[in-house]
Amino acid sequence: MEINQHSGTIFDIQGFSVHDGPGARTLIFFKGCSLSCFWCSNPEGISKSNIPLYYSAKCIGCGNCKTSCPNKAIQFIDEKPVIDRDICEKCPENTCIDNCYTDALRMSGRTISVDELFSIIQRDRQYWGKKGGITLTGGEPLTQVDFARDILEKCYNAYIHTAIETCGHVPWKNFKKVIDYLDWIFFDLKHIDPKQHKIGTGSSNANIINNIRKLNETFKGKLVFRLPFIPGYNSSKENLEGIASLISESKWKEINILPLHHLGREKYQLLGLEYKAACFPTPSSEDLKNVKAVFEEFGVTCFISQDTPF
Amino acid sequence: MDLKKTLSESVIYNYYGVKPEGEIQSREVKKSPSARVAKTRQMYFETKSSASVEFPYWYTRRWDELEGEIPIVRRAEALKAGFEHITPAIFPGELLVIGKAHYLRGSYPMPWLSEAFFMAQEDEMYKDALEAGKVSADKVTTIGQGGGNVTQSVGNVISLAGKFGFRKEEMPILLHIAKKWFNKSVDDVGHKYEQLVPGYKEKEEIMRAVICMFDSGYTLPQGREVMNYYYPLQYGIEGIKNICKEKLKQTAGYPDMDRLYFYKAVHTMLEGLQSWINNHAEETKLMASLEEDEKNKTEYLEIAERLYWLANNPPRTFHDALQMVWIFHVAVLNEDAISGLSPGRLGQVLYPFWKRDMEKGLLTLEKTHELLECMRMKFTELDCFASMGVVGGVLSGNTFNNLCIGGLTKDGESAANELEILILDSAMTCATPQPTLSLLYDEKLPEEFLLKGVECTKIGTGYPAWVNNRVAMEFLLNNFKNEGLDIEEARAWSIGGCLETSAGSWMPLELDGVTHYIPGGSAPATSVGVHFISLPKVLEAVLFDGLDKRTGRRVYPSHGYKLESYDEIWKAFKEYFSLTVEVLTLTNNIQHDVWGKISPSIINSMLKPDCLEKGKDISKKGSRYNRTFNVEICGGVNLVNSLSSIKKNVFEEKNFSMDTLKTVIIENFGYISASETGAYSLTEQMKTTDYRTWLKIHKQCLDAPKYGNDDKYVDDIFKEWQKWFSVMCENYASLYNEPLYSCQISVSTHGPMGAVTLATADGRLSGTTFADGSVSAYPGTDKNGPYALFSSATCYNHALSQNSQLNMKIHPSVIQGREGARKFLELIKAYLRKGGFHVQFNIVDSRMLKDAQKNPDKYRGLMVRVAGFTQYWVELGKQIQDEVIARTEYAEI
Repeated sequence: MEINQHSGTIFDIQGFSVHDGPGARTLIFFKGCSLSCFWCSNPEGISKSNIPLYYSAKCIGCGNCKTSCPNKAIQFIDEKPVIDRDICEKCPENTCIDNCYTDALRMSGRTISVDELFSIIQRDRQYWGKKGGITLTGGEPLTQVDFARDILEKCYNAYIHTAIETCGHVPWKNFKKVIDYLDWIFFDLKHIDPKQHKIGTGSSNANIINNIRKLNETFKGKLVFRLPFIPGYNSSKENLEGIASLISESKWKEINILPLHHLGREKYQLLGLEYKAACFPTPSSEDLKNVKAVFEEFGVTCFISQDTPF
Repeated sequence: MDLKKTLSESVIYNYYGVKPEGEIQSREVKKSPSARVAKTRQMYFETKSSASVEFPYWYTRRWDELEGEIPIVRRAEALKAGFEHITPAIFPGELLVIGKAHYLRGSYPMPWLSEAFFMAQEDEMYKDALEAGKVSADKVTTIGQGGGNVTQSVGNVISLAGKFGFRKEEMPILLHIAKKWFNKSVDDVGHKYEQLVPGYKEKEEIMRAVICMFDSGYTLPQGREVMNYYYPLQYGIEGIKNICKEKLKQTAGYPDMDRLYFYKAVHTMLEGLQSWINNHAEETKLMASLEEDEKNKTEYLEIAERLYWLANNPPRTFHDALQMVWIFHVAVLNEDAISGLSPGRLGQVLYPFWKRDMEKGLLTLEKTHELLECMRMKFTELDCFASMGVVGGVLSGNTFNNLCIGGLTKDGESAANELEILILDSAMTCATPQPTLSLLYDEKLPEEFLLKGVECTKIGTGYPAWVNNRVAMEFLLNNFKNEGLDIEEARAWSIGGCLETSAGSWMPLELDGVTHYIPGGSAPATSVGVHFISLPKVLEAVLFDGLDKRTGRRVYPSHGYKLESYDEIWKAFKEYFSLTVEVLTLTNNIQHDVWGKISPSIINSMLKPDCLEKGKDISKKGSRYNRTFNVEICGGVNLVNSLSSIKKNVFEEKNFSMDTLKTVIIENFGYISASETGAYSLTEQMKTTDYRTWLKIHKQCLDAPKYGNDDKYVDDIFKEWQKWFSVMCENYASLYNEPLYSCQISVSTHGPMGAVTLATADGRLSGTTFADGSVSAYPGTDKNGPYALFSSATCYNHALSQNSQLNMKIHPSVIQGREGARKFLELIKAYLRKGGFHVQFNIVDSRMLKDAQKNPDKYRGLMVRVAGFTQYWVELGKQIQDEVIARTEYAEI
């Protein structure tokens, strides 16, 4: 068999995922994202390099991490390590992790070859059942487009159902590389207003909207829009109508609303980051009912949370 | 020790996926029983386990009178006297009646099996009896924390074994009759002959070191088997007596005279049962005469009429048949100390009766449902009075009456039927531990049936367990071919006890001139033989050259290896393990032989084909299939993980030496040993002041490849162990001169056996519980999700062994809704298609279990799956509770 040398960086593989595509699926979380949404529930996936997570409850303050770090990225304040993550981003070593005997430091992210990943998928496919397949998510899978294409191509040719969850904020040429090997796209929308989009995600939405139009012309598979619903950020009727109108112009008429949750909060602590979405409330069922009504007025079928279109 | 610090909670909760937050999520599906059964269930909840001296008194008295009589006839007479003198008790609202004793949760000790406990505790029991009255009333409330267990003596009630309440005034009688069995019980006589086995000294040490959990012959000589109800359903009691009378004529005076005595014994026993049933009928009639409510009065009269009828005749209706099944189930349980007496494929046994009643319009779906709920209560009320360590340490108070559904018919078609759907329904509305359900999965079973099973699993009671029909058939065909088991008979199998594959037969039930082939057990007790060998403890002995390092006593002779290579470790392990199996096989054979001579089974023998044909009881190979002795193990995953760590750390990467490993094992990785703190639970381990010394090595042990992650390194070790184990068992012959086979269930032994085992090379701390089941990962070490776990679990052929056991904990949100149900079924099917033998689920939010530990009163009805059985949370020991909490929870992804 031909050995595939391509490799990529991922931070998790999860089997028996039941909410990201038809059937039970294996999810592959790519590292690196072209947006940085403040509510992101996988913040460890934003940076493209491997980064240490710090579990303070397990830390005994022994100082091994500090003494073992070749780049002096760790200082001790109040007997606890404080990590300079700008230095860590560039560090290819694992010394601090290896020398932490209590597992207070754990590496998020690892390099994996296409072949290794594919063998895990081949294993998992025996357990998916009638439907099922893979979903590339992350991070933004299309930031590692060659790796994504290789794995999608291999799966597609092996009769595996393929899906991707994308924020859409990548050059069109990246989409072009993968759409022939995709059965399904989850396409995230955050805000219709470019300025607000930039405030919430760090970038304007012009490129994203452009990509939707192009996909509409060229992609033959199924596409489901997704909207992370953040009350107080993108919950205005105006914004919802804008998004609904954009969708109604496309050939795909389904949206899956993902209500804000705070399950990712702990991860911000592990990364030493501030969780800016903390002050945003999770939506009430009344809120969600209203959202549904807006979309349905535009002829867009709206699925809330786990009530999915598959 | 100022650094005392317990492990943080985050260590104890093990999640795969997103850790659940917010409100504790309760189980999705909740149902309640019919009004009638809601009342009887409440009555059950408020009832304590109670033991009585009535049966043993009459048994012993009659036994004494008949000195010199042929043993089996003497025993039949003694049993008959016991049955005749049970005070009949009928409880309000019951549609099915009769229990083991005259208490709702009644049972009684059987000193003829073993009286040692009572003799040893004599003084203490007298003292207890005297002290009991002094316990103040406020202490009574704490007893409620154990559910129905009588955990301490109070008022006029003595606590036996921390479980059974016993009347103070009956204590002198119990001690009096116990003394009569001194030097005569199976235990005492067996013990005498066991000592003639070369290597008996090692056996004693093996038991003392708790490398083996208990002697099967003295504790639970029967059970882990499947009932066969064919004869009473077909012939009725009078009919069977007539068969005996015919047989007596044919055998009297002819060679092989043991047959004559057997038929005589069966005939005698049946007379005893007739009196027992008639006594209950009388009592019911009496209750009818006292009842003012017309409806209740009618019900009582109907019950009385049914009992009078069944005392002589075969059943006329479904209700009759169910009552008959129940009568014989209790009759067998009253004959011996038994746990794991499974009704088997009852929905298929009773189907012809049910179908006929439904067609005739004699029965409705609602009435069937109510009757099945009543049946659940009767099974749940059963208690097992065995020797003390067994009730708590092994069984967690469970009686393992496994009811199987699904599987195939004699002709190889799906055997699932509408009555089985109702059995599932009633198990959802009346969720009680007994009978537990197992679904014999086959590709031929209809989808709607399987989805009903999924719906029931969602209730969260842990049943049905999902069991692989094809794997079991392969196992049976491999192991019973010499006794003539063919593919048709292989299809008649069922689970006996918690998870023991048991051979069955098809019996021709004639009803209105039509023959229905009904399945039933046709082999005696399995899981007798070598009972629960603690694999990590054997490995410990290897490392310390034959010593039990905890006590300093020598268990095995020195193995003489320097342990300079992994191969030497593996060789020494195989030698010690083989020695253990050999000596335990021989001593257990003696135990069971003595049991068969002093305390043979009469009713159960009569029921099992082909004892009645052959005129031989089950201890004389009267059954159709007799290869039932096995070797049971516990802690296999900890063994394999430890071997993996030794191989990698000591020999390949040379991270530390063998001596260092021995030191850290003794030092318990810098934790205070559980035997010092008295806290054996995973949650309660405390660090010593110098724990930092061992941190690096502990991490290296914890980081070594672990079973359950689809890691070839350790899975290969697992596979090698499995293959060797299944083959080596065949080197030993049972009492019936059949080779042994391997059996892999932990029941609750992974708690107490872990408690006496030092730290292990896989990083597990001293005294803590082992991994449960046989292919469940050690809590928290299965980090790559369920698919990786499934791949590891199926790395060898499960049909090599009588069973394998996989327990999983799943958060309720994962399988929510209609789509969740369908995906859940796909997951189960996938595992079984890969060759997994068994999987069962706890559908529960771990935080709910934690809350239930703190507030047991709020959770009287909460049930969890342990290892092959479902039990009330409040009736489990804390070690096992903590182990269940610590299991990796597959949370929402």
